[in-house]
Amino acid sequence: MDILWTYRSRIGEQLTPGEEHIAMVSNGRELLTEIQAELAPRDDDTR
Amino acid sequence: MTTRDDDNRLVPLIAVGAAPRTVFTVLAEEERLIVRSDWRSLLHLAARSEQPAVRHYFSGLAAGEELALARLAALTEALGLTGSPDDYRPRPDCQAYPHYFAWLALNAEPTEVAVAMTANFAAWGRYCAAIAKAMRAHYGFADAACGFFDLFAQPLPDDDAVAAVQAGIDDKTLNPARARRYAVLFQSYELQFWNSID
Repeated sequence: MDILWTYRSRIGEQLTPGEEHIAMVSNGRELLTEIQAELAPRDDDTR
Repeated sequence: MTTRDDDNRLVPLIAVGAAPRTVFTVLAEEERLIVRSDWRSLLHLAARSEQPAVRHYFSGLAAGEELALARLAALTEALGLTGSPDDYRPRPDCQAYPHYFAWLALNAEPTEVAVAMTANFAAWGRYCAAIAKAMRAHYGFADAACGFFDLFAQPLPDDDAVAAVQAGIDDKTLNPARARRYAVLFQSYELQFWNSID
């Protein structure tokens, strides 16, 4: 991946949104917390 | 439409004693197949993992499946299930989860599977805690029969999971977009399991 990013940034090609996300994520706990929040129950649910 | 953990229709019924007792027979029969499958999937993921932290994570979970299988035996005994798991005709909706897990074990980057599994543990733990409590309060099961659900009701320390995920981030084998997709599918297949039992 590093090689891909380096090459594509060198030729001026824009990263896809997914690739940008990969570049941004650096903390494992934050990634887990973020995905867990997406799956969690909504507080405002009325069931 | 995005699914959420609270889309589970069965567990709230069990929690108040409104589900028929026969659901425990289905749960036990399906889990006898699921635990065996997941145990092997976890061992396969451990074997495929390059990073020691990831291998440690999956092999630790595999040991938990061995314990779960032993505890499940107490439930099947309490329910009077004496036949082989092979005598049972499984429900496809119940087996979608372990089948998908086996696909991931074969095809997915292990660190991405670690994200997807860990993200779903909280919900699974909540479901198991609610069931274990209801089995005693509403269905008259003895402690031994509740042991399978007690086991998963205990929140796991997430240090090993975080270390595995971090290893994947650090060596850039982990693609968060794929991990997220696996997590969402895992959740959907799990809800499919619960919502197909009545």
